[in-house]
Amino acid sequence: MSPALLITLTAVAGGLGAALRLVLSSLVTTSGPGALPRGTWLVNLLGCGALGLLSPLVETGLICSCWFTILAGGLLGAMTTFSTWMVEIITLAERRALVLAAIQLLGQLALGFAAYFIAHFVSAAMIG
Amino acid sequence: MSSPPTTPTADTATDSPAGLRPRPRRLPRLHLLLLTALGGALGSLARLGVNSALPWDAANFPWATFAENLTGSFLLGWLLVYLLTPRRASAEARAFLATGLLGSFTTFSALIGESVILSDNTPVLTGLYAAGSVVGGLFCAALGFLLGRRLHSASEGSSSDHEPQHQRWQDS
Repeated sequence: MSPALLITLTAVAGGLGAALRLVLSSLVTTSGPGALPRGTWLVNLLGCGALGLLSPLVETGLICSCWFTILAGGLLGAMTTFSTWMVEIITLAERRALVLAAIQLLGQLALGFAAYFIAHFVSAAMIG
Repeated sequence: MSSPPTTPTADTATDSPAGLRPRPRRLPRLHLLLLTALGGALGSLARLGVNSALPWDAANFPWATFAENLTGSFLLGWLLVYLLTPRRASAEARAFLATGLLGSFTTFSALIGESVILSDNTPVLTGLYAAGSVVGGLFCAALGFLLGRRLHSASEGSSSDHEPQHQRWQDS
């Protein structure tokens, strides 16, 4: 794949990922000071799961690393987000909702790893 | 900042303090979706650029993602309380800059994926990377809020805005 094509496809995948994040977040979000922001949970955990499914395909050489750049770097990188997650935690902490802030921080981090590992295990098992 | 009059619905009647504008559950409008996609494409390009400038070899500290996530957190915090407040900026500007550009420039999946790959080679770096990203990201977002509010107050000639102005959770 030529560099120009790789860059173009990564940008397109990134645009799709961002749009997907907006749509998915809108499905679960209910605003409220006493609630966990659920949008980032959905997109970030889905993204980690998808990355876990994708990784064995590259590790075993079933797809080339250029598709990893497009799908993992572009699509999933844009669908998941770190900045919003951080801003949400700071906002919860400013409202003195420290328990929620801790759940948002540690829970999402732990479940992100869990989603990746489970998906990676399933994907590797299916490839055989 | 006062919230606009909202129609009380089952979703919003229970919790709508001043400064928080609850949003009924519905799909985003098409032009906002397109602006988010455009910002997202540019954010992904920028991330690809940083990744190319700071290549990662699976055995060392992933400086590229680390730098992207920290700068993105700072910029999002700063933008949300300074330029992108509902009074100053349109929903279009927020969709493009916050949800699209910065939301896509930063990434959660790469943080997790790189941490796992690092654990195969250098487990110490895994902890350093994951914890460093989170602690650094929180610090940068808080710093962004702080600086943004200061600038905002200075330019508005008032210091009345102490409430967090991140009004819509799903903004990015």
